Amino acid sequence: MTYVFLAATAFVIAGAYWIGITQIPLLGFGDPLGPKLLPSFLAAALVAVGCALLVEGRSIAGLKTDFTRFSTFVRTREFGLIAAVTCWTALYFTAFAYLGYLLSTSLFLTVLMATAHRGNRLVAVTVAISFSVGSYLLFALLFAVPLPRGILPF
Amino acid sequence: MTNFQHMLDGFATALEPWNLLFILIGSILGTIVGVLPGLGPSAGIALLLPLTFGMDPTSALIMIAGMYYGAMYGGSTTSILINTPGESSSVMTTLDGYQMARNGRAGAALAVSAIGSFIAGTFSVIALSLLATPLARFGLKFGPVEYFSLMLFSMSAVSSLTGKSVTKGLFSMILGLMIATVGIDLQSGSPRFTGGIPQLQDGVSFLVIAVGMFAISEVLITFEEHVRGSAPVLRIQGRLWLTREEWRRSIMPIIRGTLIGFAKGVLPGPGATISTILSYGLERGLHKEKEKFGTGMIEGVAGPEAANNAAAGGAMVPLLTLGLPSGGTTAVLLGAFVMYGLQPGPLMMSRNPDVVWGLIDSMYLGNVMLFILNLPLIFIFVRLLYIPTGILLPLILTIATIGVFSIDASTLDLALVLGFGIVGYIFRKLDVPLAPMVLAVVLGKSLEQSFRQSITISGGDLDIFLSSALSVFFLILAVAMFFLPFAWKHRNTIFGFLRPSRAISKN
Amino acid sequence: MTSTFAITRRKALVSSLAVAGLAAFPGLGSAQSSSWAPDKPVEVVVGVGPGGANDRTARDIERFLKDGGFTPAGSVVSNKPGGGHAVALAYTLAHPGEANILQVVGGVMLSNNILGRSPISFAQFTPIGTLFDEQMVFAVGANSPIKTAQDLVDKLKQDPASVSFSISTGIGTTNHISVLQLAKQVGADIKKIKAVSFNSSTEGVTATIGGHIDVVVTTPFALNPFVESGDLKYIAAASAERSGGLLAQVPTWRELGYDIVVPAWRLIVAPPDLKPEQIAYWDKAIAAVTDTSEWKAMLEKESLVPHRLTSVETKAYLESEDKRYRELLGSISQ
Repeated sequence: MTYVFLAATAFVIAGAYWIGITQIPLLGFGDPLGPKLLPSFLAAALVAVGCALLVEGRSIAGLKTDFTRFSTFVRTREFGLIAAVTCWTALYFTAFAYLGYLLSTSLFLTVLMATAHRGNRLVAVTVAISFSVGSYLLFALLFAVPLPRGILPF
Repeated sequence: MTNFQHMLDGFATALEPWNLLFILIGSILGTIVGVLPGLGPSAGIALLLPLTFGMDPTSALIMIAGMYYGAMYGGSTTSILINTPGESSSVMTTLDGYQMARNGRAGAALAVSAIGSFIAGTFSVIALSLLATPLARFGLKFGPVEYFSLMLFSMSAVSSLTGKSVTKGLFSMILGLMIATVGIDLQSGSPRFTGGIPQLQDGVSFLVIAVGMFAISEVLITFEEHVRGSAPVLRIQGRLWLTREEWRRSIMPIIRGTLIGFAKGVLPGPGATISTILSYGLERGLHKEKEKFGTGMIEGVAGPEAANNAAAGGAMVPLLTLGLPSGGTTAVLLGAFVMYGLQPGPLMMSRNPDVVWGLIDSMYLGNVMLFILNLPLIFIFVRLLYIPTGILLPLILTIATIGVFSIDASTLDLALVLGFGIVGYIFRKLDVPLAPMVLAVVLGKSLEQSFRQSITISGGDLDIFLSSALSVFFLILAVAMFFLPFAWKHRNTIFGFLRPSRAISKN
Repeated sequence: MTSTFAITRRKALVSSLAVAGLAAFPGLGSAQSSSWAPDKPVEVVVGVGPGGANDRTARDIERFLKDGGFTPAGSVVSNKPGGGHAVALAYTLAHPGEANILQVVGGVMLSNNILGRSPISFAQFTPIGTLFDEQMVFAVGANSPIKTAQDLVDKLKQDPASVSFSISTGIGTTNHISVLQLAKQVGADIKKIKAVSFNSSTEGVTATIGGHIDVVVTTPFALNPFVESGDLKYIAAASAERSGGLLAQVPTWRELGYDIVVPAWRLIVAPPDLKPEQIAYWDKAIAAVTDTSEWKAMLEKESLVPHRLTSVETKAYLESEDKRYRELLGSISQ
């Protein structure tokens, strides 16, 4: 399963990369090899690695155990949580420029810490807010890092 | 006056109380920025450079020297404690450094990295003052041809890091090389794989890849363990400092790493990164228990950390004698020289010895100061590991975001970081090694460019790579290195064939 | 890559300088007789990181404008490297009507558009003025078998693929155009010329010193230190007239009978939609600073060729240069 998955990924990436190669514009000058040589070689190498992965992972029994492992993993609580954390982070990044650093970070940290911390909720929320304010003061004001201000006036 | 005397004079300047204060401030600022995941010396200096505007040039350069070492130590700290390198040259440190932290030896890993840096720094400042002039000519022997062979050798050293499955390692490495091809191709000027996005014309920044693949994916994995209730407890076990045994194991790797690092630093190109790869490969190759590397071997931290620092010193040779920056940090330093009105080139050292040596000596003092500062700091840093996981992980995510955003203020970078984070998570789940991909991204561009420069010069003839002794030397090393992991894996079969010669090869 | 780290930091600096600048020059804004003067800090944008020739020009012009009192609200150089000036050009383009932004540009602005790398055309900007030309000089290593320009021409005529050139940072640069012109003049096949690009002009220079490349074509600024130290030797200059200093003894291609004049002009453009009084202000300011004896001394010292054009002349000049570039580069695109 692992190997088959990786091999399939290799083939898909090689294919997409190949389409990218056909779109490289060419100039008729100098450089005898041109900008397409290494990419073409890499695409071919990736296909070769994909085939090697298939050969390495060809045992049917291994496939089955891997598949059961994977399907149980997808149904576990951990997987759901990882997916949720990833989506929440994606949302944070999307809102980052619009809401501004201070607001988006406070929100992001408060929710995440309140859920993930196993101790006192109040501690988690306090840490979240004070870290957001403190890091903003340190980086945006002292080091002049251009963190987005967003909809807040400061 | 000889360089050696200039070096002593430089110390007189750097040791003035006022300048010492600037080194101290710079070191502290550098450390603060350096512990941001993904921000190492070159990004850290670039970030802090504006703070020095308006200062008197000597003091400004001295403060920059302090920042440099502060960021360097800070970068090693994140590599060891949260598995996120600050610069391509600390990727190798993460391999065993983070594992040491997981084994409860974070203090020892931080200490050996500080000691290694200190020894390497001392060696390279003295070597620089004695050897800068003779070595400058040696670097000129490296043209595109020699450079390609050297890069190929380095790549082959990367391929020896593949872990259990060679194919998975190659998969990771090829993906890294593919990412390296994104952007405007230097030789032809053609944009490649940019999808018409102008931000991608310069390629994907190393920082985005390192933070995504290492920091974000590490956070996701630890989250998973946290939910399962099996999050690693990174409590210190045994003494905080090095044990006598650890000290004995580290000293030779530090010495070898220092020599490799300085030698590689003198040559043009991304010296520090290559030297850490070579140092790690050498320590692994020399060690009796090769399989244990990657599980928290102190040799795998001591060697590369020393090499990294010595290479930074060696890289001063092409910078000061030719005005040629050989990678991240030296490019920023070159920018600083220019901003303060020095003209880089072969005459810089003889025309402005006071500024040049003032800077080199301040860098050394910065190293010494951080070495002293870091002993109590190690104590504080390892305390960070006692922060409850549910609080620490969100904090790492936010700090990583600040780090990435401070570079280009680009939201595209944030999206890429998350994307690489997911890729890194999947890689870890499927046992695909991360380091080959990240290092291939760093080396890939130079590898391709030097190959095509050589082929353009020769008019399409591959024989050019055999035309110079240096090039042949590195090619032979590369072939040997590439087949070693394979040969090692199948050693029983191979030795089966070669049974009569077994006694000899064991020699 | 690293130089990119410096960019956005400058933007933040602008705001802090604004405050400092206002405090330092309280009365200057009204001292100018022109009807408009910058009320915000002047931002001199340049599309390369600190250290290159373009960056130096940006720093020079910023310093002279400041010393001349033309930036009453302060000034700052802002490096925006990436995509062959594309990032910086896009930045300037995104601030229409903001006359406090000036950008230093060279021929790459034209060639990138011609070669299809960038959709941004020179015609979208407000031309402010032309400053000077940087010369393109041909140099060889001290031990090279090529001793004179004639040696080079003979070799090229015999076999165009027998000489390798360092053209610094790539196809479409003035360095590259100079080599193309030479090939055309001696009648060599352009497609057979070996032109090698490097990450920086310094890399190309060191490869030439080391004997890996035969001829390096770049600016005297990058070459002078190495000619002084005896590592390199000038063979010919692609300028209209001889200049002084180290170049006094170096023949121009024209003197040798080959019409190769490639001025690497540096000029200033501003965002689109500037008001006439704003253009007039900068016209006057640039004229004033380039007329000072310090400016002239600097040109002399750095082997730069005076080439002053007003905003109107610059507009016409850009159009004619665009045409010339199109003819040369058109022959190599497919």
